[in-house]
Amino acid sequence: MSGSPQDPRDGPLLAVENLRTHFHTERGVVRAIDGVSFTLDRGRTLGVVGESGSGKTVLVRTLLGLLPSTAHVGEDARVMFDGRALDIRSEKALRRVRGRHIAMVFQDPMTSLNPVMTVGAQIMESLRYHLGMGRGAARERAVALIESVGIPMPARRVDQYPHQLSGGLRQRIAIAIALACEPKLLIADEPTTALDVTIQAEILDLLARQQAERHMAMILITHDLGVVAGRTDDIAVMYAGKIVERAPTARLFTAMRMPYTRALMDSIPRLEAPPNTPLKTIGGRPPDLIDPPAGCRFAPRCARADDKCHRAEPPLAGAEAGHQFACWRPLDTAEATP
Amino acid sequence: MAESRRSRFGLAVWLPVAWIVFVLGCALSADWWAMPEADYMDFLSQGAPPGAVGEVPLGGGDELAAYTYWLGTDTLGRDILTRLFHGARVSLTLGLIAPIIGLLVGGSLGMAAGYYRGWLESTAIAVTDTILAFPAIVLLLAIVFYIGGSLFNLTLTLGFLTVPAFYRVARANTLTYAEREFVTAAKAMGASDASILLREILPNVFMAMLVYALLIVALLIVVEGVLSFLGLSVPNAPSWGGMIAEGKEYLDEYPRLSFVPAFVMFLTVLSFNLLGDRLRRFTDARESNI
Repeated sequence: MSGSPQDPRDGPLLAVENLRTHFHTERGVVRAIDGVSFTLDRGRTLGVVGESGSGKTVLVRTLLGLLPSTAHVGEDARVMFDGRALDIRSEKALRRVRGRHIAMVFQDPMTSLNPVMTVGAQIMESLRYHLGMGRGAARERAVALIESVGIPMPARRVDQYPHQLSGGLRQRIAIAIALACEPKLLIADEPTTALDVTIQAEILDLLARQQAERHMAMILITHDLGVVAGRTDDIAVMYAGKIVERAPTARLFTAMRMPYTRALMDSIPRLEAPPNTPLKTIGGRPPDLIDPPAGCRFAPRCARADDKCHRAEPPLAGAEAGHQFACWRPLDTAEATP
Repeated sequence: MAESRRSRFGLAVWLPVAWIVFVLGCALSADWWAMPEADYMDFLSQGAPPGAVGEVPLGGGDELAAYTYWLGTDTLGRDILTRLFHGARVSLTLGLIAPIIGLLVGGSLGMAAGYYRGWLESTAIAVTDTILAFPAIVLLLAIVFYIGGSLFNLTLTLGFLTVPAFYRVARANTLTYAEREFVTAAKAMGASDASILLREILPNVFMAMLVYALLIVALLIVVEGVLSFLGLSVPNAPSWGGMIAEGKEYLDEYPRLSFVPAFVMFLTVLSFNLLGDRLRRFTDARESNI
């Protein structure tokens, strides 16, 4: 699944360096994203995992400039997309890539579709806008797209309104809209959280299938490690506005080094556990992002934390290729095995 | 879908619509009927009761022909039915055109303010609050006395006075829709501001503005009547308000001079109110569907 050899441009599709997003509130400056760097190769999937408020959504919304006006994006952030620098502080530059090269699927399909436009019109909108298609051609393409996301009777669905469709179908439509212009990168922000459990797997499989067919890179955001387990190439774990561990998926599940990742893993309920086993939770609360702790941000909740953890912030680094973590007292391999 | 939608439109919708269409038809066709001129005075039939027959010139000539005053005449011998037909023009022009001016100006200003926020919003709020704080009657008096009280001036002024109200409705609705996820989604798909405003937000806020416009129509028809009492309505043209105001002098002798136009105005205002009310319930129901 690595970058295909016929791709003319080498290097990663997306390289983000030192991204910072702050919100100016009455209480003070909220450092929602505080120095995040990562790369994403063509055609690969990066899972971003973290609990609520860890900055997953703000991270991708910063990349597309979809934040409210109270957000402030740090000047020294550098983003390379498709071999070119992308100025994420410039609305004009962002508008060139939105929808055309980077598309997004939102969490709740109940609210992410326009209630007073037919789903066909919503798909055709970006086709006509970005690709300059005529009405007839765009309509044909919309029908084909609706079919490709696995919705039966596409010719009828194209003229229906969102309220006539179920949640699962709506999310498929939202995916069809995102795929319309063959983007190079698809961002899926908790695409299954609002859906019925039975439909979640279908939607995730659909995303994976489309991604493979279109050789598209994907960022899959979720708070559910189970969602990313079998469907991503790499996983980045976020905590309090920072990436705290990043590794290839299989390696993260078998050889995690960061205690926070371990704690997340432990909080997944297990089928083989005997009945009435209490769920493991992570004690305490995520830190206040207005006044974060001086050292490691997880230290106050970490059983292994010592003086150094409370004093100095660990950098995101790693001994092995592809596996980085930000921890002074990492788990060793034996401990990491769940 | 079509059936369930129709069933919600009962008599309470069709009767008002029928009445409004009827009044509109009367206003448009007022010149084509075999009727005397609206200001023709039949001195032999002053204050004639309904059904009385008089002789009037029909079709512009000097020749007199027999004519039945179905609603009687006023104290100057003018046909009340004819004056109602022509009065509908003033009431409907004022009542319909002025809200359209307010809807267009206030609506687009409100949508822009609600979407872009910032200095545009604060400026617009300052301007509309000033208009709201300024006594409307004083403005109307000034317009009538300095510029003249034509139908055009009056419509324009009343339209201007409805701008703040439409501005507020449009802005409030735009504010809630601009925060909705589907607007962010459209933006994420590369839609420009103009296309977000026109294609994502406008279709959603338009119904709310239309409902409000219908209520303003009803209000302005009444306002025309009030202005007649102050002598601020359109001069030299029959209007319902003017007829009610003229009739007030003879309430004990000829109560119908005031009550007939008042009843017509009542039905028209009621129709617009009912229609606006129904439309709001319909859009509320649709909103909960979403």
